[in-house]
This record gives sequence, C-alpha cells and structure tokens, in this order.
Amino acid sequence: MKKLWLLLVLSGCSGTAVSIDDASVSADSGVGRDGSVADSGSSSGDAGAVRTVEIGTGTTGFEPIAEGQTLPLLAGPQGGGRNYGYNLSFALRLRGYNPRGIAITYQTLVASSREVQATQMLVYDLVRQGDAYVIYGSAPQIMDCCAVEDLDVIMRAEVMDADGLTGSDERRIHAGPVCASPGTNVSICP
Amino acid sequence: MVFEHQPGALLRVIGNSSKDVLVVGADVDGQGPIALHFDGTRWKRLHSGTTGDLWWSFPLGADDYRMVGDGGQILRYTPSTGAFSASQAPTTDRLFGVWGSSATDLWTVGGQTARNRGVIWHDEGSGPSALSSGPSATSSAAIFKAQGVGSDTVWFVGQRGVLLRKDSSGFTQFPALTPYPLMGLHGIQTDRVYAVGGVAGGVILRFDGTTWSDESPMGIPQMIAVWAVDGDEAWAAGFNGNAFHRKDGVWTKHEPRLPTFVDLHSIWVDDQGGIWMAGGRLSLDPPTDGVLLYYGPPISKEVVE
Repeated sequence: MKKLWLLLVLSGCSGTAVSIDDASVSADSGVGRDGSVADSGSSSGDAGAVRTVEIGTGTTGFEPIAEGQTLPLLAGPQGGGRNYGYNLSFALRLRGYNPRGIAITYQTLVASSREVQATQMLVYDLVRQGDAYVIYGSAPQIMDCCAVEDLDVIMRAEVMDADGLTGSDERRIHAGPVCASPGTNVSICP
Repeated sequence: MVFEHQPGALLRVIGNSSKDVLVVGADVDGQGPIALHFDGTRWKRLHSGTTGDLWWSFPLGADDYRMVGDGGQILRYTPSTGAFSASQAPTTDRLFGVWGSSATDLWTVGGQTARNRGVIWHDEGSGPSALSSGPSATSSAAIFKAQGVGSDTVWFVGQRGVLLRKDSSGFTQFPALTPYPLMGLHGIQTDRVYAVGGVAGGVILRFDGTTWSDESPMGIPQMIAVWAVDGDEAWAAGFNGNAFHRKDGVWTKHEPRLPTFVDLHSIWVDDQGGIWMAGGRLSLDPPTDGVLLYYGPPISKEVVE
C-alpha cells in the first residue's frame, strides 16, 4: 500500500507528521477496460472502450437482478423508521471504468409516477469480482417506505469515474410486500 | 489507518487517554462483538462473552468502561483485570448510547427505530430503571445518544430531530430543527453542545446555552459523529468517510479526504490531540467493514489475543 506523508495542522497535533494509507492512488492502467461485451445499461465517453454499468443487489457481493424481480425492503440499524429507515440493497457491476474514487448516484423511483423516493450520492473504490469491478451493500434510504411497499419501482444508478467517464443503468423491480418491523413479517404501514 | 476491512463495523472509539483506548463494534457472525483495548503499546482483543452488536461505550473512570448494545445489554469492562460483567436493561430494545458522571449516575438510551419508540434508563447504582416522569418524546422517537455537560445537565438526541435536556428542573424538549434523525451528540460545557445527523443531507446543530442553531455547511452529507474540542473547535464525521472541522465559528470540509469511503460513526480527540475515528458500512444490519483512523504520532497496529 502506498503511503502518503502529510504534515497535519490540527489542534493539539500541529506539525505532527503522520502516515496514512493513500486511498487516492490512480487506477492501474487498463484496469477494467477489458473489452467485455456490453450487456446492459448505457455509457458515454470516448468511443474506444466498451463500458457497462449494471445494477444488481447484495450486501456481500454483486448479485444480478432480473426485470420484475421482487427485492425485500430492508431496515437499516439507524434511521427514521417508516421515513428514511428502509432501503433496497443496491449493487453495481462496472466494466471499463476507473475503479478508484468513482462517483455514484443511486435513486429509487416509484415506477408508475417516477416519483423519486430515495437519492444517495457517494464516492467509492470498486472491488474486483471476476472480470469486472463491483460495489455492493449500498442502501439509499427511502423517504417513505409505505409509498413503495408492494409496488413496482425503478432502481437507477449514474456513475462518473475519476477520468470523467459517465454511464447509467436502471432496472424495474418489485419492492417487497412489507416494510417489516425488524424480526417480524408485520408491516409498519397503517 | 490503524485497522480496515474488519468484519464488523467499529462503532465507538473512546478512552481515558492516548494510552488507554477502547474500540467496540458489531457482531457479524454471532460469535461476539469486536472489542479492542489499546494500552499505548499494543492492542488486545477482548472477549466479552456476549453476542450482539456493541453500539457505544463510555469510560466512567480509569478502570471502568461501560458499553451498551443489542437486546438491551449493558456491559462493564475493567482493563486492569480484563473482566467483563453483563447486566440487562429492562428492555430487549437496541441500546445506542451510554453516558454517566459516575457509577450512580449512568444513562442508557435506545429504542426501536422502525417503530419510532425510544427508551431512556437511569442507573443510580442499583441497575437501570425507568424514569418516574420520563419525556413524552420517547413515544415517537428512538433515542440515539446521551451526553452530560456541566454539573447537572444531560442532553439526549434521537429520531425526528429530538433534542431533550434533563437538568434539576426536569426534562425540556427543544423545538426540532430537522425532521431527520440526530445520531451524534457531544459538548464540553453548557453553552457549547453539538448535535449532528440527517439522512441524504446532513445537519450540524449547536447550542449556545439558550437556543439551538443550524450550522450545517451547504451540501453537507449525513453526519453521524461529533466531538467538541474546546469552546470553538469541533469535529464532525459521517457518511462516505466525510469529515468537517469547526474553527473560528466556521465548519469546513476536512481536506485531504480521509483514506476511507465507509461511514464514520464515532470521533474522539484524545488528551494529546490525537484524532480517532471509527466506522464501517453502517447502513447494513449488522454493520460491516470496520475501520479505525488515527491522526497523531505513530502507534502500534499489533493485536494480541
């Protein structure tokens, strides 16, 4: 791991030289640009490389999802309960992007109206999984779980890597039947 | 980076000094929560003999740490003997926070987030018990943290922007400045208290002794942890590895970026000015991917059983 030596000017430790792991190292040349066939999603940027963005799900790895598949509404450990306490688990599989420090915007929309029920923007280093790079365990919190319970929703993701390459994907899925009280299968919705 | 990619999120870092540091966190495999103690030379892995996540801890003295977590569990750890003792709050709810001025003045808080129900327990030495006249806020909000300031004042924060103060005259609920959860709380004197939280967007609130005001910088992400250093300076940290620093009355984003993209749940500035931050993937239950960051003189990463 590369080390970056910084002279921090922080209260109480002014002038202290400390070593921190450098998480902003540049991507290795050619990483992720493996020419794999685009299988979903869309992308933009230079025309020379094949880039794909694929929305999936999973908290321990990328799991593909099929159109119309039912995904559970998950309760996070902290949050607002019915409001901002639940999420659909997002994962992404990308090919052809710089995996370091990629900016991702997730959205969850009600399919019938395209009303946005969740938005989350983050920056992440992708991890290698097979011939692609993935991020998993993302959890954009839903404004009102009861507004998506047992409905078709759109899971959408937009990405922009450190080189400015962009892409997006969206999937129509069915949100789980209940915003369940943790440990039960009983909905918290009135 | 002291530790990264730990199986469970590291939810709290706190200590009595830079040579007496306790880190606790999640129990991802049901075999027990992660717990580590640093004595200035090396880290020792602790085995509490319990299961379930440990969400928070607080040092009541040089040899007395209290911890709380899942299922209403309350633990006491004695570093000099390595002994743990466990007790049970009169609830199976998750306890998110603990603070005390002494063994006869210990506050534990938590609740059920999905049902917007909170609990506040007070231990006067004979075990945690309900308050004879508790605040009504717990009927609609889980309580995430408690923090004492001054001689007789304890603050509480929770869901729906709840801001509660307990002093000699009883509980006072202040008007909420956000509808979103407040998850972090710290203060060092009655007119310097900070509360942080939010959801997609973050919020930083400050109490000046009379009123709460919103000091959130534009575009700030969800904040989860806060630490007041002195009357002016403070740190806040949260979603996606973002940290903010308050100096001369202004919050600014800490640059360069911290070497992590996970969410930061706890921040502590030790007696030598060293800055500690702990976190992980906090949206998962149990939270995973623990990290511990430290800014200060080099320290050991050695862990012994």
